[in-house]
Amino acid sequence: MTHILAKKSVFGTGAVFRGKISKVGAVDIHGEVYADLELDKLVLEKGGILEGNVRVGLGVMAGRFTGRLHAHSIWVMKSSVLLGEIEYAALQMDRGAALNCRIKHNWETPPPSLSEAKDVSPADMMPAELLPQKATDKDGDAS
Amino acid sequence: MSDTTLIASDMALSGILHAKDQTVIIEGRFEGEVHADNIFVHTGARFEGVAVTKTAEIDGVFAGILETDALIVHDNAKMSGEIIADSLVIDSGADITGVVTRKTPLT
Repeated sequence: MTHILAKKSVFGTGAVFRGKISKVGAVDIHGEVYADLELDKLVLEKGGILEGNVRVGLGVMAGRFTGRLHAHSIWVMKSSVLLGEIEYAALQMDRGAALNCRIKHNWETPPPSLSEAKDVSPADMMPAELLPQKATDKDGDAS
Repeated sequence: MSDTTLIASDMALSGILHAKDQTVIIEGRFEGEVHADNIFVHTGARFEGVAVTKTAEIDGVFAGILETDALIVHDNAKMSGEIIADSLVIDSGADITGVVTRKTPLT
């Protein structure tokens, strides 16, 4: 049985996971995840739910997050709802995003595993369908 | 939208995954319980726990209880525990230790 290994993990639409995630590099969340995470790249898709303590290098948030988020770079999209606490080094927020949380800037140098994240734009890790539509969607998307 | 949940080879997790109408692909490590339409445990992956699905394909390590309608055990598979299935295909080279019973008893 031949199979090409995937580069990132995905929680699909409607999937609900509760438990402990001890090791992960990159993950897309379309469903619901109730767990603590420490990872390089996170995409919380529109409609996705994430609850827990999260440490991430690059985070793109389009869904609902509740908990403590410690991110080096974070892009908060217009469909996102964030509750709890955010600590960040670089933050971009689209018009319409709902933040109801404590926000703290952090100058801390990212760990070596995340250092390459400094030169990566959030757009580099976005699925095509979530990228801003420049022709039709003019209100507040990232340029 | 994604109708697939994929546990990549660099991921290890333990807990309960409910993925109704979904395909769950495991390339990394999973400990716990999975409820899904289909489950694939690939070569190099490890699953420990309970899986309840409609179909299942195993080509990695599976230890625990698997309840499914149809099961295909590929040649790299190492299965131990209990298999409850209506249909079962085992490729040459697969390693199975445990108990196999029918899901629907013959009348």
